[in-house]
Order: sequence, then structure tokens, then C-alpha cells
Amino acid sequence: MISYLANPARFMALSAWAAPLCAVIAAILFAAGAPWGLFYSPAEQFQGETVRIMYVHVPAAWWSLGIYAFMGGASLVSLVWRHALADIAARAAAPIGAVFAGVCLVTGSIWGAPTWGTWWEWDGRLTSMLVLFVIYLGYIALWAAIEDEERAGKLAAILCLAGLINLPIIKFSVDWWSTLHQPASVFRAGGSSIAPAMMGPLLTMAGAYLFLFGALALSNMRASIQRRRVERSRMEGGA
Amino acid sequence: MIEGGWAYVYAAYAVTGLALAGAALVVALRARHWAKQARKLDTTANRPNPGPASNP
Repeated sequence: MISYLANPARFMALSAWAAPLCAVIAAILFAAGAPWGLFYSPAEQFQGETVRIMYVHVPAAWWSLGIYAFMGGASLVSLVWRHALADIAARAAAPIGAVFAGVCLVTGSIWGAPTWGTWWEWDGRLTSMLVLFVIYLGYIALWAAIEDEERAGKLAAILCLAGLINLPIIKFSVDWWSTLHQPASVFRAGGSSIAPAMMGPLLTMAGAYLFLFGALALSNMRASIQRRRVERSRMEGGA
Repeated sequence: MIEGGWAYVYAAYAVTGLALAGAALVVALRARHWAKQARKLDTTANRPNPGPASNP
């Protein structure tokens, strides 16, 4: 499948219908998940209504890590196999990952104010998440700073692979260090500790974020392929 | 139990909605711009060659 899509023409044909399809699915899931989380799920015993922030915060956290892992995989493929679309995929995913990481940080801070009594705490989970956000910005800035796209792609891929070390730090920070942030409650040994009534909106919103990422990443990749084609043609015409 | 959390909930949903809608808008505008440029390129490439200009 990956080698099949190495041909940009095949990718353009496939993504022409896959991107809008992902957008429609994301819109349906947001339209279902947001009101479900806001109005039709129960308040929590201690957190009260503020638990509803979880439905926008947790999927943003999950997928900001997931997108970075995807970028790491694409960077590896770009460096080792020189796949035609790998660096385009990693670059297209980065701004979306940065937005998700930003949403995670801001909504977490809004949740922390009434729950912990502070907007920010320099503990392991919050700090490592902030580091992920800064790595995203650094990756985007590196691409923008170097004109030669082949060189930029190679350096950005190395930066991305080095930054992968931060993912297990984020995941296990709540186990390794004393932290205000609660330990894992969904992906943990012994199964989820979240009430089933809250799992429905949480998973629906997680699906919405995933399909939104699919739609935006595919659209970004299509734009990058078209931009490269137009710029190459302009250079050849001007030479 | 924390009382009066709704203001925080609405603020979090508003921030999320604005951030995601903003990202979607930027990506859509970028995609539209380059699709238009690519179409323009295709139109130019498919135009028949007028041949060498003749002197009047």
C-alpha cells in the first residue's frame, strides 16, 4: 500500500475523495460528540461539570502524541527508503499536531484552574507536553528556515526522530514522578477506570479528532504536491 | 464537588472550537490556492503552440 502510494498521481486520485470523506465523518462525529459530552453525559462526583473538559482535552492529548509518532514513522521512511511522499506527509501533519498539542495545553490549563487551584504547574506531564509543543514548532520552523527542500527534509526528519524520545516520557511521566496530573485512566494495565457513560462521548470525540486530522493532513499533502509542481514548472520556465 | 464549573467548560469548548476551525480554514485556503495554481498551470500547458511569430 505504501509503495503503491509512492506515486503522487495515485495519491492525488485517492486523496481527492478520501479527504472530503474524512471531513464529513469528522463533522458528524463532532456534531454527535460535543453535545453528548456537554449536555448528555453525567457530571463527576468530585470534579462536577468540569469533567466535560476531558472530552476535548484528552483526545487532543492522545492525537498530538499519535500524530508525532506518525511523523516519526514517516521521517524514518523518508530517511531510509526515500519514499516520495514521506517527508510531505510528515511536514503536512506537523501544524495539525501543533494545534492539537496547543489545544491540549490550553484546555488542560482551564481544567486545572478550578480543579487544582492553579493554571500551570511545572510537573512532569505538563512540562513534557509543553516540550512536545515546542518540538512541533521547532520542526515547522526548521522546514521554513531552509530553502533547499531536500536538505530541509533530511534535517527535519533527524529532528523528528530525536524528538520521539519525548513520547514515552509524556506517557510514563505520571508513573515516574510525583505529579498533580492523574495517572492513566484509559490505556492502563487492568483496563479502563472511566465510567462507561463517559467512554461514549470520549471515544466519539477521539474519532472526530482522528478524522479531522485525516482530512487536514491529506488536504495539506495535496497542496504541497501541487505547490512543488507549480514551483518546479515556474523554475523550468524561468531558466 | 467543584461548583460553578460551567464557565470553565464553555471556555475550554470555545478555545477548542476556534483552534480547530481556524486550522481547518487555513488548510482549506492553502489547498484552494494551490489547486487553483495547478489548474492554471494545466491550462497553460494544454494551450496549443501558436508557432513562430510572423513579421507583418
